[in-house]
Amino acid sequence: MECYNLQRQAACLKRSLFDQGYLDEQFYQIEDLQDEASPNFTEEVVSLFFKDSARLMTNIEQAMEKNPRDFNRWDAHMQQLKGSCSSIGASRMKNECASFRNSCRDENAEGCMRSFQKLKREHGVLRQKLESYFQLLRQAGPFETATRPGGA
Amino acid sequence: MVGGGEGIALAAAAAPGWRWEEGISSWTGARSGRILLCDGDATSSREALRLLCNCSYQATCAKSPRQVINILNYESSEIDIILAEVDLPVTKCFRMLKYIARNTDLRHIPIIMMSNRDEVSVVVKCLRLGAAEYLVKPLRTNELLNLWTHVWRRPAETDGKGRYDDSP
Repeated sequence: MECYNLQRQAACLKRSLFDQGYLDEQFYQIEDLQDEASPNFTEEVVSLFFKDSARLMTNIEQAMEKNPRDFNRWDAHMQQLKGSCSSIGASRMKNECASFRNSCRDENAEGCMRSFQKLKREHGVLRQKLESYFQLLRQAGPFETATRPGGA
Repeated sequence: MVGGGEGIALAAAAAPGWRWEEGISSWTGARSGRILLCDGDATSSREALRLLCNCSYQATCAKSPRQVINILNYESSEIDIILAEVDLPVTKCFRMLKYIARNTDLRHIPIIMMSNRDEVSVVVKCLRLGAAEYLVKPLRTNELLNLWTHVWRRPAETDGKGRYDDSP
């Protein structure tokens, strides 16, 4: 019983992440690669993503502190971060990256800074939610959880 | 290991069609790029994904040519390389290669084939259909580290990002 409830909580959390736009279809692609041979693959990929994205965001932050402003450089860094976000389906973050890049193209430093602050927040929220998700899965035990909500 | 970031940027500046934005990417120390991986086998995909992440690529995975085309339709300007298993099966793979070669928005993207098999006829056909390279599995890190160089090997008449410049 206990197990089933945790299972359901994990499934609910995942569904809400999709409903609220934090994650998109690409996340399922990664989950689909998980099986008995590699039961923690999704968590592995997600944790690599957070390590990598934290590094990229530090690079961007450092670049943004330099003078004169180099929008090309900011954009190049952000292109990498956006690619990373797309790869695991981090949808909100990806959209914010696109927003940042648009501001770069317009050479709108204010816009870039606002986007970057939003991005940092989204990054933190997503990390926290996914940590909760994986923790629930671990507590629930080794049952099949990579199921999509009906019809997806 | 490829030489330091600055060396790459200077060497690239001499190449025809090179653009400043690409130079910036190499300056940030990122021998990097967005790779679209296509492999129907989960074990093989996982291995490739791990290797690609370790090489600092941003790797997006797909299971079939159809998924590849879907992703390309949304994000063609942001995919730097396609890395695809030949056995998708083989006939679907050839169709995918033809589709991409004919599509003006997609054909600039280098396609690297990979496979367990190394039959000459399959290799030759892939290359004839536009594949830039053919890797035999298991993939080696040094081969993956060098994938990004395909993005630079663009003919002079493109705008450096491999897109044919059709402005007047």
